[in-house]
Amino acid sequence: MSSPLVVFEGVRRTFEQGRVVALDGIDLHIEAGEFVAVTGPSGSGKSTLLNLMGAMDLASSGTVTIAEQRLTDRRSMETVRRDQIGFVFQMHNLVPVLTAAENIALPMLPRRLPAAERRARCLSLLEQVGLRERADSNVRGLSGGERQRVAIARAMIHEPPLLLADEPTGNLDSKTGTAVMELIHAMRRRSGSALVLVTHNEELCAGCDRWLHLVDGRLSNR
Amino acid sequence: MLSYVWRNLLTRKIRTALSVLGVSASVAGIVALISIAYGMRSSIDAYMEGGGASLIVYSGHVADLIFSSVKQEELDAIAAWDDVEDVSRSHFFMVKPPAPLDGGESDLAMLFCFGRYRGERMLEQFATRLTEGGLFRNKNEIIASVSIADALGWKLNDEVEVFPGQAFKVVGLYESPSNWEQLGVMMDADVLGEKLGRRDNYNIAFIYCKTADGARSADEISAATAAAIQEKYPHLKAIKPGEFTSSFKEQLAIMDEFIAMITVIALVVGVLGVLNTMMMSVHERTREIGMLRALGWSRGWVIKLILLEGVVLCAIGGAFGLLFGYLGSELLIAAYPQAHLVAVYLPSTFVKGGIVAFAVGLLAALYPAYAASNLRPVVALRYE
Repeated sequence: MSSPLVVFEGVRRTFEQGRVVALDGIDLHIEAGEFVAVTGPSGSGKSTLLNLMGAMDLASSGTVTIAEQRLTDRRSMETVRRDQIGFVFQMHNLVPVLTAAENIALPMLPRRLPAAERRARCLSLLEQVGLRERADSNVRGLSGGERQRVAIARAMIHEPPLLLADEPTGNLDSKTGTAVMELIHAMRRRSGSALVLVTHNEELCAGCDRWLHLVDGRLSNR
Repeated sequence: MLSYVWRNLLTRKIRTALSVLGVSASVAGIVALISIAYGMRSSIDAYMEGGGASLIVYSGHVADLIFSSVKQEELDAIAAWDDVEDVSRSHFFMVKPPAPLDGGESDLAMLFCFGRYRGERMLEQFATRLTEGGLFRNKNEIIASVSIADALGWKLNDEVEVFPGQAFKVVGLYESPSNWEQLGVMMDADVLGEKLGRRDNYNIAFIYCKTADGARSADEISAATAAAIQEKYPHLKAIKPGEFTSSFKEQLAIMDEFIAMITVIALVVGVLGVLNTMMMSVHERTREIGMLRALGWSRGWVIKLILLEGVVLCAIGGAFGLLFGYLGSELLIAAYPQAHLVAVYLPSTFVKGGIVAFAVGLLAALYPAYAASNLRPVVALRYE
């Protein structure tokens, strides 16, 4: 049996020299291809959990292991982020001076893929998110929904085993939000990626394999 | 990556343009300074080489040619050697230029006076450079450069006072590739020697050796003659005319040090300007850099991005700087014709300008790149 994709063991994350406890003794396993929804009130530790899972932060105590790689230092975090993680943020966080295709290619630059191959993969992803004809448009000219679709394509370009989505529909109207979520699910199914979705919107949790609820830095199943 | 860098620079057009201008001014200053300094050196060498002599002889221990003293008896002995065809003696001095004949004012800072003898090759060969008139025949005649004649309102056959109370007739006008000669007049060496209080000794002598004799080449003959002069007269220095400025390298080192100092100042100014630009750019793009880190960019890639921006910025500034350096030098030369500046554009000068631009880009981007790479993605992504 293969190891879980994400393993949290006794993870605690504190701030301000231990005075603020954001996560308190989290034990968590996420399997490859699983869809896990995480909800909870503001300040419950959702973002901190996502940051640790996304190898953007280190636990104060306990261990975080992603794809059998334990996160202990900056180098291990960089490697995991590059090879294992895809991010979809609430704000699309696209680079405004670049085109849609160039934004999608950003995670591939450190991989030294030939430009033609990079371009082909970008166009293929843009096709999948329905924006093939906007490949060379500057992202400033795209609507909010289109920008988030570009951001999804960017997150998926290296087919990461773990896709992390932080309120991906938070800035979109409900119709566009639904379309974006459908796209995320379609693409993760195609690549076999696990999805961890952090949201306030419980409607988005429909169909999840597990629904975790965070309150005061502690997890509970719903 | 390059298109990303390029578009980032184009997004902030005015800031980029100002930084480019700053770098180009630094590089242009360096190029102009070095080119004109080389021009001055080459002008001195042109003067020394102009007479076509095999060797020049002067006092080896003096720091300035004006204090050099080569005795007549030494020259007489050298002239008698088998390998020596001819010896030309010369005085050299600078005086305050007289007022123009039309009563106006001239921009001339100084007037070079060269003392030479009729019948000696150094002066006789000069006849080919005359544009009007002929060489002087008497002690109260001079020939003047066209530039000097223009500046002081002299015409052929005018009576002029080079020294107060001593009139000379201008019997010829000449053009010379040497700036020294362009800023001067030539007169009988005895007249100038008398003014300088010199008797039977000269600033400099030009030695014309025999050409190849079958057994030895002309170079071998002149080298042997130089060695013989220095052996017999250790206080004299005998060198090829083209080696003159390099033989004064200790004295000219101060010019090199000055250029080096200006280069360092230009470098610092350029670095500070570009550093400010790069720091602002990194600060404004904190969130973007955090996003790149979240997408898997390593610290090294962020450093590479910012360094590349600095280098591209300075490469553009450097390219403009090289062009402005050339145009600026030519403008300076055209603006001050009385100074008879000459610029020599050596490829190495442009390479130095390019290196300065590259160094500015690299140095100025180092700290911003380091700061950007140290941004924690989790903090940078929250940045508003």
